[in-house]
Order: sequence, then C-alpha cells, then structure tokens
Amino acid sequence: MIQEIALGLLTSSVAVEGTSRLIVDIAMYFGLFVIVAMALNFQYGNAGIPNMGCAVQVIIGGFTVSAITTRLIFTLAGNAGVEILPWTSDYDWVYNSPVNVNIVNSWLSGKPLFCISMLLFTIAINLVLGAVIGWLISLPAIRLRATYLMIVLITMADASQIFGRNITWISGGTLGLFIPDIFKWYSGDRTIVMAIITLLIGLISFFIFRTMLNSPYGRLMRAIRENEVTVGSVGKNVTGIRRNILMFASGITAISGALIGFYFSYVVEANYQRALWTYWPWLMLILGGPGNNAGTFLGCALVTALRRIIIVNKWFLQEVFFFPIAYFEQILLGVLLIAVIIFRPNGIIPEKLLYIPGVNYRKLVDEEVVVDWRSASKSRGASSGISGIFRTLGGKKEEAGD
Amino acid sequence: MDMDTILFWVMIAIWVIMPAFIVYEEIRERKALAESEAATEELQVANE
Amino acid sequence: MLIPAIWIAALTYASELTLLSMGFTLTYLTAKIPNFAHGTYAGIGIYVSYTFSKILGFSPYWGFPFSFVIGGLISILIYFLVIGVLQRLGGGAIVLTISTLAIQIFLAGATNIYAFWLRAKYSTYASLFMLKDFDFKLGDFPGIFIVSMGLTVSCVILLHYMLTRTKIGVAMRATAEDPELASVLGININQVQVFSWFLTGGMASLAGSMIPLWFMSTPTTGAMMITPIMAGSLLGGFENVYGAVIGGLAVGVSEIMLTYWGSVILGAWVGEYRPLIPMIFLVIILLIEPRGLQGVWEKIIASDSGQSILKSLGLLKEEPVT
Repeated sequence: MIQEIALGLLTSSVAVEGTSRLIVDIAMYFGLFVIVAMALNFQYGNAGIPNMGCAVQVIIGGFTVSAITTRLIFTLAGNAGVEILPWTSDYDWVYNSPVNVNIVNSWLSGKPLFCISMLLFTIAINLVLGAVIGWLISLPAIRLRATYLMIVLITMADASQIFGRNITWISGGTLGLFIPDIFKWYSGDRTIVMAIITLLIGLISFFIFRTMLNSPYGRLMRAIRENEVTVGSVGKNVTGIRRNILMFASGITAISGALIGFYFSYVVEANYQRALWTYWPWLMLILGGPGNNAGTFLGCALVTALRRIIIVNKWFLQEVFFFPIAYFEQILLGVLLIAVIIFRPNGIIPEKLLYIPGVNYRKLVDEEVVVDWRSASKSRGASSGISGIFRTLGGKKEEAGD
Repeated sequence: MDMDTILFWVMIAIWVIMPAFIVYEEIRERKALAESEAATEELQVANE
Repeated sequence: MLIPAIWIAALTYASELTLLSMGFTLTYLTAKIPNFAHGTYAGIGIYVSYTFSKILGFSPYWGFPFSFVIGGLISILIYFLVIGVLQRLGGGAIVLTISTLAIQIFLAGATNIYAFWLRAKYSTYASLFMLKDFDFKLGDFPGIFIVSMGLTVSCVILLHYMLTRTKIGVAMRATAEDPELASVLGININQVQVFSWFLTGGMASLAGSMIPLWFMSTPTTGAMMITPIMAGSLLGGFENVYGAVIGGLAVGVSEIMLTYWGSVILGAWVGEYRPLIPMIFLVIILLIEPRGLQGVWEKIIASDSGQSILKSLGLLKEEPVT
C-alpha cells in the first residue's frame, strides 16, 4: 500500500501528464528491460548459460541503492552540517526515512555535481557487487547440470527476497525505504532525466555487448555454446570464460535494479519479484529470438508496450474482470511463453550467421546449418550447454549421438 | 519552450535512434552475408 | 496427548511432501525434466478441498478421489498440449524446463482467478483459509494426521507393487531406463508417458487437498511448495522413487522442526526464514553430493570399508562385480 501511496505522490507532483507521462514510463521500462534482456541474451543466447537468476542480480542493484548509496548520502550530509534525524538504528532507519529523505533532498537541490557523482558511484558499486554475485553463481555453475543450475538460481531469487523482507537495514523490510532524490537540482520533471539516463545506459551497454560479440572473444563464446569440448581441446579455459561472462553480465544487470530504485525514489523488495525480473525478460529474449541483439530489442519493445498498455487500461479492464489484473498478466505470460516456444522456436528474428569478411560458412559446412535453439542441445551432442562438461568431467556415460 | 519538453524530445530521439541503428546494422550484415555467399559461388563457378 | 502438536504438524506436512516428491521424481524419471509446475498441482488440490467443504458442504475427504482425477486430467492435458508436442518437436532439456515454468505461471494465475471467482460468486473469502473445522477426531489424534500418514504409506506400497509386479510399471521403468530400447521391445511409450503424467498429477493434487485440513492455505501455497519438493527429491537422488520417500520425509520434518526449535531457542523471528530451510538443503546437497542419498549409498557400496560393514550386517547379498 505504501508503494501505491509513493507512486501516487510521485505522479501527482510532475508536470508531464497524460499521454506524455505514459510515454516516459514506457521509455523507462523499455530501457530497464533492454539492459536485463540484453545481458540475458549475452549469457544465454550467445554463451549458452541458462541464467534463471536475473532477479537476484536486479535485487542486488536495488539493495545497493538503499543500503549503500543512501547511507553514504546521509553520512556526507551529516558531515556537512545538515541536521538529520538519527538513522543508525534499525528502527530509526525505517521510520525516520521519509523525514530524513526530505531534509537531505533540500540539501541536495543545490549540488548537481555531487548528485551525478552519487549516481556514478552507485553504478560502479553495482558493477562490482553484480560481478561478485556472478562469481558466486558461477561456483555451482562449474559443477552442476544446466537444469540443476536453473533450480538453484530460481531459489536464490526467492531467498534474496526473503532476506530483503526480514533484514531491516537493507531496504526497510516490508515497509520499504525512501531514497534521496538525486535529481533535485533539476527544476522540471525528473522522471524524464531518469528515462534519458536509463536509455543511454541501455545504448552504451548495447554497444559494449555488440563490440564483444563481434570480437574474437564473441566468436569464442559462440564456439563454447556450440561445442565446449572442442574449444577446451584447443587450449581455451572454458570454465574461466563462462565465469567471466556471468560476472560481466551480472554487473550490467545489477545497474537496472539501481535505476528503478532511483526512478521511484523508493526501494522495497516486493518490487523485485522473480516473475517480473526473470520470466518477463526471458519471454522477451525467446520472443525476439535468442542470439541476436535486434531480436532482443524487438521482443523488449513488444512485451513492454503490451504490459504498459494493460497496466494503463487497468481501470477499464477491471470492470470486465472480477479478479485483479495481475493474474490476467500471469495467464498471458504463461500462454505467450508456451506459444512462442512451440510456434516460433527461433523467435521473430532468427539468429543469423556471424559475418566475417571473406568467410563463407555455407560453403565451409557442406550441409545447411540450421540454427534451431530448441533442438540445439540435442544436435550439440553430449557436450550441450553446461551439462556436457560436467558429464565429461564427472565421467558419466555420454549420450549416443553425433 | 521549457526544459521538460526539450528533454522529452531528446528522450524520444534516443529511443528512436537505438532501434534504427540496430535495424540498419542488421540489414547491412545480412546483405554482406548474402553478398559474400554470392561471390564465393561465382568464384566456384568460374573455377569449374 | 501422546504426541505433541508440533510433531503432528511436522509428520502431516512431511507425508504430504513425500507424496509430492515421489511424483516429482517419477516425472523426472519418465520425462527427464524437473517439472516446476508440480507444486501448482497441489494448489489445485487445495481448491478442490475448499470447493467440496465450503461450497458444496461435504466433508473435504469426499473430495479426495475427485482431486486425484482432476489433478491427473490436468496433468494429462499439459502433456498433450505442451510437453508431448515439444518432445516430438525435439526440444532440449532447457526448453522443456522453461515450458514447465510457463505452465506453473499459468496454473498459478488460474488458481488465483478461481479463488476470486469463488469470492465473486459465493461471497466467501477464498484467498486465505483453513479447513480444520471440517476434520474429525480419531481418539486423541486429528483425522488428517492418520489419513495423511495412511494415504502416503499406502501410496508408497501401491507404487512399489505397481513398479515391480505389474506390466505398466515394468514398462515405466523400462522407459525411464532407455526410451528407444523400450520402444523397440514393443512398449507404447506414449501410453506409458500419459499414464505416468496422470499418476503424478493425481498424487500431487491428492497431497494438495490434504494441506488445508491442517495448514493455512492461500492460492500460492502450492506454487511455494516447489522448493521443498525439489529438495526432497534431490535428497533422495533425483532418480530414485524410494529415495524421494526418505528425502521428502526428512525435508518435511526438518523444515517444521528446525523452524520450531529455532524459534524456541533464538526467538520468533526464525519463523520468517522457514522457506530458507529447503533452499539450504538444496544448495548443500548440490554442492556436496549432487546425487543425494543415492550417490552416498553407491559410494558406500563401492568402498571397501562400507562393503565389510554391509556384509557384517547381512545386507549385501552378492559379491559386487569389480
């Protein structure tokens, strides 16, 4: 309920209204999900790691804002002589949060440079913490089969939410925590600034991912996805490369969690549900076509527009349905996922062959190469995905096949 | 014209540039792929 | 009372979990995928019980056979519409697992909508309830304690009998071992798959319909149970139905008892962390011995000292082939 009040406060004070407000909102969510889905595409589409734990990385981003950035701003404000209410104990941390944030906001209003440095600091911390989480995830990933890894990651997303709910000093437990407004220096509508920053970060991360995919490292990633035993046999460190990919992508994913915290000026664990931050990005990835960024973008645009339109027309739909609209979204998500998997296994834009000047794959490979991710793990034989190497390492019986 | 409106259109511009660039690159790469294929085929025909 | 109430709760929960874990393992054996929708079948069972007791006015026990059939039919429907289609199209393990996740999301949404429909139609609050009032007493014990234990034990015995003595059970085991070889030998794999999906769905739904007789239930109770189910199944070795029996019992009892003892010793805040216990089980098992108790057992059999111990106990019948 506090969430709704916070949202109401947020929307009431802005100048941009009506349709433009909706556009800003869609742009913001598009930017956020582009970051998450592109990192997912990097991990699953190109390196073949089924990361079902995006929610863990996103929640880390949110907790960074509430637990580290807010504390830092309070400390610095206290040192600068601003009189803020006590915030060190758990109780004060939660219940003085609205008042403190108000006081700090008026202090922040004259310091654009400080605010921007705080934003950059948060992003830097996110990259580091996300990388740490990625490293932690990669520890079981080195040992486990792909399906086991999915189980562990899904439970980890739930576990992180339980910690967020019960440990007050992270994000204020179930009540949530207000975040100092780092765009107080801008007199107009700060959500637009936030959306621009999010889209820019999405754009930058797109260029980073694109450059990495077109580099020799990207070709190495795809080679690992296709057949890791071959890659290992020519002297590449497969597990090390996997670990690096997970760490890098986790860091990027964590940024989006921080951005949404700043967007709402409010962090609560209920905002970081695994359904929202894992299943929807996966739908975007599979719908658009895993393995190429254009598909991911298209999937993102379609799904975000769909969700936002549903939410905006909530009051109209609520009259038609007798149940909360969230459950309709669930049904839609399930049906869409299954339909895409069955009817468009390659996504809307299928993965294309890598273009390297002077090389013609179709002539190199005698038979026609069909990149079908659905049957991929079968055609890739015993060394499919993460499972293969552990099967090989564990001395388990190899599957019959090519 | 106030700052909000300007920033709003900047946002729209970024939002449009991003997919436009991706589509442009996608088309270019697919074209290059098809061309290199055709070139190799021609080369083979000439060799034969 | 002979047994403290907390132990009754723990054993009831553990026997329900055992049924669920057994079904989960059976699905993994025949279809080779972890079925994330398995917990949601239990959610369906919960609402069958609710419908029978609060709406139709019968005892919830009358709903058990219906619950079994409804769960089984939904499970078969899932097999025909999604899993079977994907298997025929040649989906890999990751794709099939994602599809079960999608089914789980869909079914959870449908259960929630059904709860709201009940609220709109009959104006009863169906989103948080308990059916303890509909239970009967057998001596000192609540009926559900006896019934859940009895049902689970008889299910284990029936399943054991079916898997070892009947034709369909042997066919199921053969399909689990090697589907291609089984089909060469004239086993109709499709039939076996349909039967096993019906059985697992029915068992899960049956277990679910026992939950509200002792525990507080919501539409998401079933979906939340997937972690303990997987922990139980994994503890038993993931590929062994009998292991799942032990695993389900161990995880169920320890989930409730550890929370209880923790809240007695450390304070009431431990109760909030109850869902973490199966997760900790899961992670520890996966990191130490990914094959669970079965792996431990095989290691004992393979080691020399283990063999001598087993021989002295008279458990080892034949000399192992080296």
